[in-house]
Amino acid sequence: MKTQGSEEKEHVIFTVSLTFVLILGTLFYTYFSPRQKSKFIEISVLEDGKTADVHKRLEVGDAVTLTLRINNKFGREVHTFIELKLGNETTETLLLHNGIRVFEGVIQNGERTEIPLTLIIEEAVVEDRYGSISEISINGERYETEDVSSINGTIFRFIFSLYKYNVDTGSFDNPNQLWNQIWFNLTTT
Amino acid sequence: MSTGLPYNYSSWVYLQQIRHALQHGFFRNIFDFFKINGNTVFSSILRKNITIISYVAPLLCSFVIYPVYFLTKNITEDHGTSIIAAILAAVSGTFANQTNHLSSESIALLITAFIAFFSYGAITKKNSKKLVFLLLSCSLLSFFNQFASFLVQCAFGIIIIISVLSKLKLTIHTFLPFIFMITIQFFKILFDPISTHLTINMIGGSLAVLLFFVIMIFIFKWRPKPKFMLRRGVMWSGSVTIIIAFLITLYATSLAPFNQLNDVLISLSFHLIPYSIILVFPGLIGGYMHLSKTENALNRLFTIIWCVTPLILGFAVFVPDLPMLDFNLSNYLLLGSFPLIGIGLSTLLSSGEKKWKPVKGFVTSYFLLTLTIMSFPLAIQMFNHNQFYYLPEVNAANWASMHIPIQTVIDSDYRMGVLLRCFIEDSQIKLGDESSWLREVSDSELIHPLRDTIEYVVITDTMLIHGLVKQGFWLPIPLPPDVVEYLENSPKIDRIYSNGEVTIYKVSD
Repeated sequence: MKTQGSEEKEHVIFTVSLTFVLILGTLFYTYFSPRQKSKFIEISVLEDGKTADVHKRLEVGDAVTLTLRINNKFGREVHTFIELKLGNETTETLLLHNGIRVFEGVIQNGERTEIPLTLIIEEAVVEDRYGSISEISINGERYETEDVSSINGTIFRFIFSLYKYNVDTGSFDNPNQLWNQIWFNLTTT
Repeated sequence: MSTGLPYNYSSWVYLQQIRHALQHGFFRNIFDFFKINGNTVFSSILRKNITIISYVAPLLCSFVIYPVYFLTKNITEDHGTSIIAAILAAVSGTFANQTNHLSSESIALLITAFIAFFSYGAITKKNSKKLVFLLLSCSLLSFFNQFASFLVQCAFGIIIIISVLSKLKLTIHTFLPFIFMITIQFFKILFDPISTHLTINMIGGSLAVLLFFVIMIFIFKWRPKPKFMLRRGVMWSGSVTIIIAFLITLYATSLAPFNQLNDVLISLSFHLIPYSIILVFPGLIGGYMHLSKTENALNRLFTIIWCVTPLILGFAVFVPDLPMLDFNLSNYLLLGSFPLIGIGLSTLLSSGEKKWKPVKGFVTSYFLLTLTIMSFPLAIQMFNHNQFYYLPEVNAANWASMHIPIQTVIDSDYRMGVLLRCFIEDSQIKLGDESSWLREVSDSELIHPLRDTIEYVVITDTMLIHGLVKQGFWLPIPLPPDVVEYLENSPKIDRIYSNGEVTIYKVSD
């Protein structure tokens, strides 16, 4: 036969353990629930503060001034780099480490970084239905390209891909398809 | 906030109205007042203080537990039962979820809860002070949410019908709220017929009237016998719960497009079936006990009226076009049910031998914990999650407003288009209707060349995963991946913005 005191004690133990289980369960759930798509990085290509409107007919030796804007809303600082790649109509846009690195740095959470780029196609062969670019300058520095040729005509594209350092894998990756591109038609005078 | 989705498109859709109102001046004549509703004022504040309000609004909406507590206390006169009802209002499913984010529906739900509480005191107890508060709440609701105000009008109408059928003395307390709401509605229809438009389907309307009479006959004629009340109540409620769970499952499964079947099954297993057990079962027991104990017709039927009205409205307005499982409807149904669920749970917990109490306590706490977890599901598992915006989408719209020139033509779906329209002035933004290229390729599943008139195309991840949203509803199939391939490999189209969720393409001349 249980006394009233022992019954009360049982109730107290029960209530305390129940509260503990409830709090633990709630904390566990809250901690492991993924926050849906609230962290992100945005990349955009601008020209004079507006959406880029590159002359669709770009002559060899002409300068194109673009601004890449990166906005970090990832909730913490991120180590990133941006690659510029010259491509034709069939270029794979996200091949890693085969472009020209135009920016590398740590962007703080909430920080907006602008990267001004002056691009000039320095050396190219342009014929009637064929084009090939072998040298480009970025902000005054010349780079040899991997002899990018267009397939049909003289249509090319500047591809800007953003890579972020992944702490878990210890390498740079671009899982969210953060890249942009501007097409142009190469001509000669 | 836990889902990362504090925004809902009904909160944004009125921003244009307020912008125009500000541009052309408020209240050019006195009747313009009826064209400005609560949402416009609410949204104008929201636009400038989005971060603050995304935290303050859930706090404000969480006050809904107070009217639920006081309503249950007035009906049952029992503190313990009222506490159970209030806790359930704080943690139950879509109800808790709705009061956890920012939308005009959340505010409307809060005001409706206060109306239910004030109307109990004003109509059944003839309390004049509560009548004043009731009329104030009603006028506030009328300018906030058309559906909720229509629901309250119906509830007041049913109260009058029940009073007449029960041969109760009709007083000004019974009539005034209904007349007040109808008068406001009349003025709103007169001066702003578009936003007050609510179509009642002929078949749905007939079904609603039929349902109303069946429920009324059932409630008026049926008196549960006091002998073996709890045992019979449990058996009766258990059978009805199983039938309801089966019907809900059948209906929800039939609604699901084939490619979204898995999502719906997940939602079902995490939401609907447990709801049937945790909420419907004690709710039915509570209803059984309440009907068998209470003698005054209006007191007896008061909470049941608030449960019946959303059901009837659901039939009248939404059959056969819209899913009956719309979270708005289920939330109003829950609002009326909380006192009954409180009575049911309280009865179940207090019955039986003492030695079973710890077991009951454990089972109840397990249910409550499950209920809490279910109330904050992953975004994808939420019903009507197409109505919410992800932060990257809001950011993309803001970016577009700063960098896309005015007077351009932008193609998107209804979901993203509404948001873009809020941010970008003087542009033609397509909302996934027949004039939209995206809609055309989504419908035909064939890639047509982009129309010359379109200057920008905005694609979201949700279009590729679920499909375009057309006036609040998902189209049944996702946007074909060929669309993205076309946009990215066409030399006339530049990809100028991406954030992982939204991509903006610019079409060149």
